[in-house]
Amino acid sequence: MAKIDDFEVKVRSKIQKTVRIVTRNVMNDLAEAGPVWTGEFRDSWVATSMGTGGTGTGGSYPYQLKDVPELPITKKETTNRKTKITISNLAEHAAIAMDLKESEYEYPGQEPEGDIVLRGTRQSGIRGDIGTKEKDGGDNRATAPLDWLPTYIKGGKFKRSIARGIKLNLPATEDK
Amino acid sequence: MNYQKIRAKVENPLLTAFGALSPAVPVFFDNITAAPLNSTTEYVRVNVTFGLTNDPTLTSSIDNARGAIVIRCFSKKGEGPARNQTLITTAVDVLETLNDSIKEITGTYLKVGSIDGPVFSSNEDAPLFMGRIETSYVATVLS
Repeated sequence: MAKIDDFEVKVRSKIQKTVRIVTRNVMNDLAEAGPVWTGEFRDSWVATSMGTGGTGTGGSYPYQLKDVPELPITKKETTNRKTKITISNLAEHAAIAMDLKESEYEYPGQEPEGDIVLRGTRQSGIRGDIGTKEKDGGDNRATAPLDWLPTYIKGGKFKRSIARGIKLNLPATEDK
Repeated sequence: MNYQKIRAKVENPLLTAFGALSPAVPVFFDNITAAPLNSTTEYVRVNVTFGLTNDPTLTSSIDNARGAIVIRCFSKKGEGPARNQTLITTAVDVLETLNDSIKEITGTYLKVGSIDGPVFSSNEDAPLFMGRIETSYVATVLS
């Protein structure tokens, strides 16, 4: 029995580590896909364990495994809990950066850290809603395309990251 | 892969549906300047984005593209949500109709996923009230 128990614990531990690796990958994807002006939004992604409420070390991009909380390896937490981790962004202006909310924009006094992907006249209060430069219009810039977040989540890249993490971390099944 | 055909599959029926409203509502797409700056006139902004193309699936066809459709409806502020919801309903009807299409031998076959929203918002400075829906899509160009 002891051997079976050990095996079960190892499998559970492997599952939980896989979840943490996938989480780290997704956090880095989000940081790379999203806007980067001062870097505050990019560095504010946080993973929270649904079982313990714990968070990682509160690191910044590029995120590492230690930035994702350890997960309990009890049977309940491993096999029964469906959502193990949530990823959120703690930046004050997160909803604006995600194009969910309108805002007013001012030049922050420094050039963006990230690459400029849109340049022209702002069409609405949505961050990434920038059209061609109009006469007498502003010279606005954005460092991520409009609706970068739904494109990542719904466009297949989110699922691909999950699959990639599982492929990376599952044990080999071939006989040796 | 023909991205223009996919875009047209979504954008054309939306343009028709909003054009049929009384009064007709202007619809703006990518790379087209939207309503005049700080417009107080209602309009719709449609954003069709592309994620992965030719991602292997369980079906034999891999000539497909995935992405997101985000529709924002801007209507007059301070007059309740009714008009905005009419605009949102028009958009939702179009998306639902897209799912009714049958896969033919040629053409573009597109299915949308569940629709998130509508979410309504309006900040102090914005001149208009905004309703927003988003969904995923998978499209296959068959010819």
